[in-house]
Amino acid sequence: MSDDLLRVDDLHITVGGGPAGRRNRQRRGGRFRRGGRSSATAAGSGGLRAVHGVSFTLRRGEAVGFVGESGSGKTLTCRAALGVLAPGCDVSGGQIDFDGTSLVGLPRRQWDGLRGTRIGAVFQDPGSYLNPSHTVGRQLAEQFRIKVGHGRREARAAAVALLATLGLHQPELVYHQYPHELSGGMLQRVVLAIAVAGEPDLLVADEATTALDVTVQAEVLEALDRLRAELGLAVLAVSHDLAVIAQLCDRILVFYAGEVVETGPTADVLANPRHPYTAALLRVASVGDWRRRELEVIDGSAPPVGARITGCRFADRCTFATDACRTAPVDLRAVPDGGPGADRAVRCIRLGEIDPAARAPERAGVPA
Amino acid sequence: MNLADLEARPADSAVPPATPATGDRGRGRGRTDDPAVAVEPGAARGPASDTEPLLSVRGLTVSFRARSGPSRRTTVLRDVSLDVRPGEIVGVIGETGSGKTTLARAIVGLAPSDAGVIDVDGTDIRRLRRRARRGFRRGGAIRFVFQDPLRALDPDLTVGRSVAEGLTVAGRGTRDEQQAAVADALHRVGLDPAVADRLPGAISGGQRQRASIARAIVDNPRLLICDEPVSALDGSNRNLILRLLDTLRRTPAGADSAERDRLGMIIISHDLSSLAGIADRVVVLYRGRVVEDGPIAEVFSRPRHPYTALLIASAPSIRDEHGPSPAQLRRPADQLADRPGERGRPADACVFAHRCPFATEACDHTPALEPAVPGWTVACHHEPTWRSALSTNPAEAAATLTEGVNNDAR
Repeated sequence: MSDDLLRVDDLHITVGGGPAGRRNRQRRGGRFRRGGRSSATAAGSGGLRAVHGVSFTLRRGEAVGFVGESGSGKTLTCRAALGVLAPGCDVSGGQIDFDGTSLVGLPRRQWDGLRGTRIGAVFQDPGSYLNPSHTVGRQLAEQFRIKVGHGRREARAAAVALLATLGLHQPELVYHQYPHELSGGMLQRVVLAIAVAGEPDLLVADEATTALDVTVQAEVLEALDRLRAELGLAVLAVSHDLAVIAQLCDRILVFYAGEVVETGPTADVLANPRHPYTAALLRVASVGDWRRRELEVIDGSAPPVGARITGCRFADRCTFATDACRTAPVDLRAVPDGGPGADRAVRCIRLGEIDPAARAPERAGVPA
Repeated sequence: MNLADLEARPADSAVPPATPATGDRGRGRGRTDDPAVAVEPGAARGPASDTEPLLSVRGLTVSFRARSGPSRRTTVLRDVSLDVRPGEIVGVIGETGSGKTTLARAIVGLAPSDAGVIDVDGTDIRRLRRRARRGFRRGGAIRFVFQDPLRALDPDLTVGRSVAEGLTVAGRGTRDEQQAAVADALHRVGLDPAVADRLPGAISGGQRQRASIARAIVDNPRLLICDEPVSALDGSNRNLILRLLDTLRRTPAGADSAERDRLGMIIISHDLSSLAGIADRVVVLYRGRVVEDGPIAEVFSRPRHPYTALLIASAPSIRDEHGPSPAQLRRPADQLADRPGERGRPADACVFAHRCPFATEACDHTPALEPAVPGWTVACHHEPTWRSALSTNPAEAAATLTEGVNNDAR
């Protein structure tokens, strides 16, 4: 058995194709029937390409983080790995391989054997993933009974023990409470408990701490760290907050407009970003900087989903862009001087010529 | 960055040019431990000067009717005081349920308050009734920016008409004057005039928030209250909006306006780092009480209240931190009472005592908000000493602080 748990190869995802696109067309067709607009909508059956050729591997026990602005394709990629793409979104190319099983086009029945036992997931809004009319303990114990095959008593004991591991102070009390009686941070830990009850190999955390207060976020991140240490869990985390990924993940993938623009060990990438977009993202991020300063902004906006761009997709917002950047597609290239085993890659043709971090003299210098 | 950098900085660099020497006078009045001072506006007003606060809130208390529970009312804000001077940005931080939004809403009269004084230009606006109140509202001294612009803007009104609404309702100016004011407001927030003809649903999130700021500044308010204005935006847009707010308070609306007329702001945000980039002072709320109030850069780099320290330590950071870790500022798990007041502590204990690793018997009484240094008030019995109880080793720190308590749970 190989060391790679999840391998995504040249993944392409389109949106607005399938059922949702059809539904939209029907609705619009109905509404504008007299105007004869119905044929002018949507880009045929193919939809818009939202993710272009994403590849990465996730090793056992490793934590990989996706960062990027909204619409950069990070959530689509992670949902494809879970098989929960929204209606209308389709994997149009590439491979997703989870421990020897190909996940693209996997029948639903086989998904049931993976989700919960091999792959767990936590999303942003814990409240909407729990049944309000059952106690959280019952919902957690259910996982142990169905996914692990515990008996009633055993499941209960395991549930209480897991709640305690996740740092809930009174697991017995929490066990008997309903979702509305718990705070957001407690709910998120309950959902986390449900996700890891089957001792999965992989946990997908999609903006799992975004809706929480910073103090609670710190507690949930610590709980995740503890789980990784105890269960040898691999984590695929998605967040728009660079600092959360920095704290949680070993490796980082920076998404921009549907492509991975930079990847490598988190500490290396953040200390020495090689793609201008990563550098810009770092400058605008909340970095625990308590000075009065000029807040940085990335000029312009990301290209719309499905935009046809020949060259580098970031060129229009990049201060280093030249004509050469816009003429041909840019490949993800390995960084030659990335250090031994650093495994860094950057999608920039001016790699080596420019120092993207250099455009931020304010950060190191005198306060503005 | 490290703390040494911050501490090396001159202290007054965090104070805006508009508020030189806020010093003792301002903060002395900010003390709320004496209820007589807190509720009597006459006593609170010093000699008129350029740095006279625009807004002065004293002893504000807000409670809501509780549907269940031992008492019939839940107190959401207790004895809250804060000042905003012209051209100053005051940040309000705290967790969910700390009363940040209620504070903002109570100041503009959207939430009923039980006691206290909200003094705007010498008028206690809490006491205004009916016509006077309506007149005050339409006068446009205070304007509000909501968190979610999509819900705050009428989806059926074009941006231009939404922005003009405050003027049309107040019946101010001719139609042409209103048009000019709208164009000017859109220009000041950096929106293309063409946006005026579009609906809120057809523009981007950042543009929408700028439209809702334009709507708030169209009649040149004195004070802007922004409730989580950037929470719905991504990093770049977030900084863009904060920068815009910073510019608005620096540039007076009219060419002939004085320092005194500069826009003051209250910004509620949970993004501490961005807030530190533009705000001058910060007010930290915990369970409806102000626990710390001081110059933002200093407060954030060396907080004097354990709760502020916990907030700062919990904020995820990309760089190496030299401050204490969140675990050092949390109470060991086995020692946490589930709800304050239920076990151990009396009802008037320090609000943070149930979570504070430094709490002692003294904390059974609410500490007064007292100036630790001029311009910086803290409500903590152990303000001068708790930091020395911190050690670099969390386990050791917990052991020294919570003697005799079994803490092998951690």
